[in-house]
Amino acid sequence: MNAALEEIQTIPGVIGGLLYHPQKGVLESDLPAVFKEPKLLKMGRILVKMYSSGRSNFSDLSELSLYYEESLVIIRELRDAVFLIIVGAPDLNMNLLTMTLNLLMEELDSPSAPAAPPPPRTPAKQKPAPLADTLLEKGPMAESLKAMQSELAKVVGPMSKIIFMDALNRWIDTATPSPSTYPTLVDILADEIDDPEKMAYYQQLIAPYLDLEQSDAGFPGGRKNEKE
Amino acid sequence: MANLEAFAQRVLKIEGVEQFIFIRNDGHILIHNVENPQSLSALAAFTGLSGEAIRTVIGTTYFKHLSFSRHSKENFLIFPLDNYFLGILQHAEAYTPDVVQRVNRLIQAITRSKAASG
Repeated sequence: MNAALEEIQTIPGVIGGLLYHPQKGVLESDLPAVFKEPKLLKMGRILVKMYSSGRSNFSDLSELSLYYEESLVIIRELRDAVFLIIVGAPDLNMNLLTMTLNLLMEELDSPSAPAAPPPPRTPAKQKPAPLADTLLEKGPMAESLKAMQSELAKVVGPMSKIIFMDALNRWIDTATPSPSTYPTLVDILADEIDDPEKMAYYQQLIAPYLDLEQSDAGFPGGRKNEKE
Repeated sequence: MANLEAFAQRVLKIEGVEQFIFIRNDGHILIHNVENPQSLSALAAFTGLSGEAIRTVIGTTYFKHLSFSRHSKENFLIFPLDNYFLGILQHAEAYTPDVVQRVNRLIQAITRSKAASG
């Protein structure tokens, strides 16, 4: 995959690229030094979420491109949940870049190779795609999770479904989904919401749905007390 | 509402536009002709706002548009317009840069017209 970065760098207009993994972070980068690691991590995280959102709507998604006045940013999924992110100048030869990327994809035997539509999986998941949907649709936690998703809409609006599914996937990747690991899911949602006031309101909303299952586990920060 | 209808007519007249959705930046749908407005409005709002977030991370200026490229070639384009986002689902046979240019021309015309009317 490092060879992929080197090859892309030779295309006129390419400023540089990086290989990003949602759990492992930046794997490789040949972007200029001004792109420090915290920036790359933040950029990677946002771009992967955008890409995942697109994949949930378009199963045949091949690439996401963002166009700015002085630059453009492209993200493609490679294999094993690794993403290729390219930063280029506005005059970047997109036809040449697309051809190069398609050839590289074939060489890497990527799920995003143009010969066939990619499988319906989002890159952040490391477990089979239906698991998050399965948790939400059936099983002992379905009712609570659906309620959490529904209440999330009161806090973040119509983006709640995307944010909640993303949080579910992160929960699945970092912990065994069960009522005892609900605190982990709540922590992830707090990270996603990124607003202490909104999070406090959301925790009030979901407390009744999780009380019965949380009698032993408890919420972070002693949230259990709020129900009394 | 009449303005929205007029806007919708102008968008649909653009060569290469198959379907469109016009939303406020909080995801509220103003007008559309897509088959799945709820999921596309959420997508447009989320990615449109994220596009702005990326802009501040990499230190660039004006966010022009973003494009979801698909194997079917029915690409989905999102354009920021003040506090709104315009989502365009293009025809498979259309050339994306041309569609982008035509949509931008419409957006610029609207922006100029707004500025002229004060």
